[in-house]
Amino acid sequence: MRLKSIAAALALAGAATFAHADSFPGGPITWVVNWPAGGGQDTTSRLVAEMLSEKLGVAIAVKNYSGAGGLTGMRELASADPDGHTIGMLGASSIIQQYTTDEPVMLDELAVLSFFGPDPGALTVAGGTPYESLDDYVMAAKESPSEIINGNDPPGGASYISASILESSLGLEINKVPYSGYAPTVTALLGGEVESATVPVPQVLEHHANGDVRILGVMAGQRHFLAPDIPTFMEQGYDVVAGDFRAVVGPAGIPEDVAAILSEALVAVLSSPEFNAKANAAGYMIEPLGAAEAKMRIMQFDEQVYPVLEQAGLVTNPR
Amino acid sequence: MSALLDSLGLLLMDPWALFLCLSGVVVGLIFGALPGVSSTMSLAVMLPLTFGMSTGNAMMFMLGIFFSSVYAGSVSAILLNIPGTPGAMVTVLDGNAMARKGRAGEAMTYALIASLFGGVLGWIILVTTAPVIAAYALKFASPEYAAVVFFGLALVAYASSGDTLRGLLAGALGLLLGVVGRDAITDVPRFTFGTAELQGGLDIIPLAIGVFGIAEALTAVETIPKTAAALPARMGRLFPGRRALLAETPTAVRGSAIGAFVGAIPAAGSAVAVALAYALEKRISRTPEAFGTGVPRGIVAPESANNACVGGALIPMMTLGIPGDSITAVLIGVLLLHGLRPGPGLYESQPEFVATVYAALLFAIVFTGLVAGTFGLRGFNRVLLLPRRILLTGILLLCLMGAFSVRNSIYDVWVAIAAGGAGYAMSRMGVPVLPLAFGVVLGPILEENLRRTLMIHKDWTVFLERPISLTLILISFAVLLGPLIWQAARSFVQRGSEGGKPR
Amino acid sequence: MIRRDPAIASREARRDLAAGAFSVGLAACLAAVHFRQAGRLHDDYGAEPGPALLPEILLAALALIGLALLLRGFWIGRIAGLASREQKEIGSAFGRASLVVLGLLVAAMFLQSATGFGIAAATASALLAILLARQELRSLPRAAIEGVLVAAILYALFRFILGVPLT
Repeated sequence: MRLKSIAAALALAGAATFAHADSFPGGPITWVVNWPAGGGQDTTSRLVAEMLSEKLGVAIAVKNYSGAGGLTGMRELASADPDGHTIGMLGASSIIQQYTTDEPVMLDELAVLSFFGPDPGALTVAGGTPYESLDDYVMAAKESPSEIINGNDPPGGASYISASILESSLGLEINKVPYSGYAPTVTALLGGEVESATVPVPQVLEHHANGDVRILGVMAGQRHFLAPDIPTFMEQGYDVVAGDFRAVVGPAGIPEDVAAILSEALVAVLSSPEFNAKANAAGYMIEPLGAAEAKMRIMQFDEQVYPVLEQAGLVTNPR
Repeated sequence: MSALLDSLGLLLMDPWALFLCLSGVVVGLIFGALPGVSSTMSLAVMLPLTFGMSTGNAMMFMLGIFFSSVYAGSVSAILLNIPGTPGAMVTVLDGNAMARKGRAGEAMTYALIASLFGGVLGWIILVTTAPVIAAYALKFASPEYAAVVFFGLALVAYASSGDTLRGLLAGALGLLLGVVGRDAITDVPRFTFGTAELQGGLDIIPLAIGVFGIAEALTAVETIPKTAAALPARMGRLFPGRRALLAETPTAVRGSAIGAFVGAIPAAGSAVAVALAYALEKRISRTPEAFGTGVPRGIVAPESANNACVGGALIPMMTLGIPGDSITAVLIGVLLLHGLRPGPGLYESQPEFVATVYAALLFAIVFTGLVAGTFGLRGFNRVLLLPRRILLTGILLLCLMGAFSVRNSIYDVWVAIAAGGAGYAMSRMGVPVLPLAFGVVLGPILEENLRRTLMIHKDWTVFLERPISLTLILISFAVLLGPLIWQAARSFVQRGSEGGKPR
Repeated sequence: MIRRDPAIASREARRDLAAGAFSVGLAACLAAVHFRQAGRLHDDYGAEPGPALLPEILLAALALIGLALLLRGFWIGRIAGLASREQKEIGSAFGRASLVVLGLLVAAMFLQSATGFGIAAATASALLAILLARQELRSLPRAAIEGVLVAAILYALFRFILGVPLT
């Protein structure tokens, strides 16, 4: 994901500066995206921001603070005035970074406002491989440990963690080869450089339909809405749940009433059929949850991922 | 092909679509000319405007911004010596050198024509051979990638001007700067000194803005205006002459081919393409020492490559649904929001949609040529008529704001200032800065792919077993060792004739 | 590299010495950082050489290049002599005006953290314009106004049209 560019902003930004405090407590909102323009975090943010702006009646300027693997944006967010006028998108990588980076932003420096949705991992194999089913794959991996080459993020990235969870839940070992982002991973899978990949479903769906790759299973509690014919790991008898997620957060210390307004508005936007139609078309799973439930979901992920990181020897910042 | 003609006809008949493309081109020309404002950023800023447009219109608008902003990166490179985008990093050298000789107008024309040439050639390759190139690009796995970058570095070793030892020093420094940050394979931080800011590594743009833009401005403040032409006092004539232009055709063809192909390899990017194109031209030139002093070839090679990348980057996007770079990632985002998921399915099932995208890119190229050719060149060149004190002040401020804009980070401004001081010191020590920039761009890609290859194949011999990488490695060694052998032979002969004079 | 002109030769010798000393010094400092780094940097990564190898190769290369430059500098310097009076300014890498401008940029960055980007940019811009106008022997108050105007235009362009959060 370390793309060479860049930060961006809505043309609204200019207007935002002069906007009147119409309804939401007092003036425009800045929405922090901690990845460069064009990625999933950015696209989803702009989509939500657009509708949230209508809902609250104030301008929302989306700003990309990329760099340091997402840490720059998180720091910007955590250090902003906790008045509810700076909010942003949080992903799984920021939870992981709490334990793997120098000077991280910890979850308790942030206030969770709502859950956006999960982006479950999936296990996909290249068309040229002999693995027709998940059973084949697991059997082969057990027979010859560390032989199957899997494409994923560098250690600490979401699809690396998915692969690690796959390994630790099923007692396998695979050769986890890192690529910088989903696009190069999928390219390597298509070119046959890696045999399998643990990227989310939307990244490989098109190639699955075309017969170039096979999605063997989805690492989620339920099937992916874009691929209702592909069974989950659970259904095939393997207890593996893993993947990325998205949530909306602000700096810790936002006044309760302001946080409640934001949280309610977000849930309303995320639940609207209009938004769901757009987001689903773009491949994003939506699961609107209020602040308390969202916090719980994030804590669950936190509990799940810490032992995996510890096992992989990635923890430099122990709890 | 008939679908393409239909789309061209339909869009030509649609004044609203044409107007959107034209507006996109104008927006792209202005945004792209500002340093630090990349095509990605320009597209992302304008993204919300496309929500209400039809898919075809949205593509007309976005591709208009895309192509013109890629071209416009050359404007600040030539006129102000600030490389605003990775693709314009190399254009700075000969572009600004030419401008300083009072031939800014010609330099701008060379850049525009090379850009259009590259754009059109990239477009033709996209339209005619996209599936073939895409299949070939997929064969480019980590070993090939490592080999092609090794080839690039081998070319660069001879592309730097001046003293070899100092060139090596600059190259090593650049490679070291590229190491800073989290390692792409193991995620281990290197040379971050425990800070959070350095973990993401050093972005090439603030560095390039520093070593080229700020360093040059620092040199310029030392030169009192009456004594030397530190800045171009005038733009000179615009048109270099037909024969001079035609003489650059082979360079433009080579540059465009490199650009289209490198652009088609996912995640390679225009910085690699321009580095390869420039280094290749310099290597095969009969007068390599002229490069960097303001030769048209030094503008034509990178600019044609840079703009051919646009068509190239659309190849994996259209046929495989894979973004070739961050710019096409935004374009895919636009399509996704319109409910279209580019990929093999869309490519085969909806030829009319594919044709619309192709047609839109052609309109974008044509409009860029029209707008830049009629108003752009003269308008941009007017900047040079500003008094020196205003121009230099403006350049330094643009450097600071441009560096900030890359990642909205104040720390990048510090990087640019430090790089500016370092670049100035290097020029005072006679150390060339170009190898440094190439090292920063190419080093991390080489390391990542080399080590990934070893993770997968566990053996160095894989590089010699794969035909593409073997060929590239053999050529690289020929490039590296050829001149050494040649020089040794020549000095042996000379020594014989001159009676053992010490070198 | 040796030219017949002794002034140029001694200049090149000084350049070599400066560049060489810089490389060796930098290599030494970075090596200290590199080899003392804790964590997974120096782990064994099996078939893959690991993250520590490339920096080590580069540091060694930098040190070697630096030594070679030093040797060449001494050698040329011994022949041509290092101190050639007409070129004494090259001993320091920076000339005065550029050092002042660089200092101004750094000062502007510190000012920025206190006052915000806009005011810092305007101040630096005014001072830069004054400095340059002094060289050109032009009216200083006018230059200051011009400088502030340049800053205001560029700031407005980035801040309000592009929405870059320059605060």
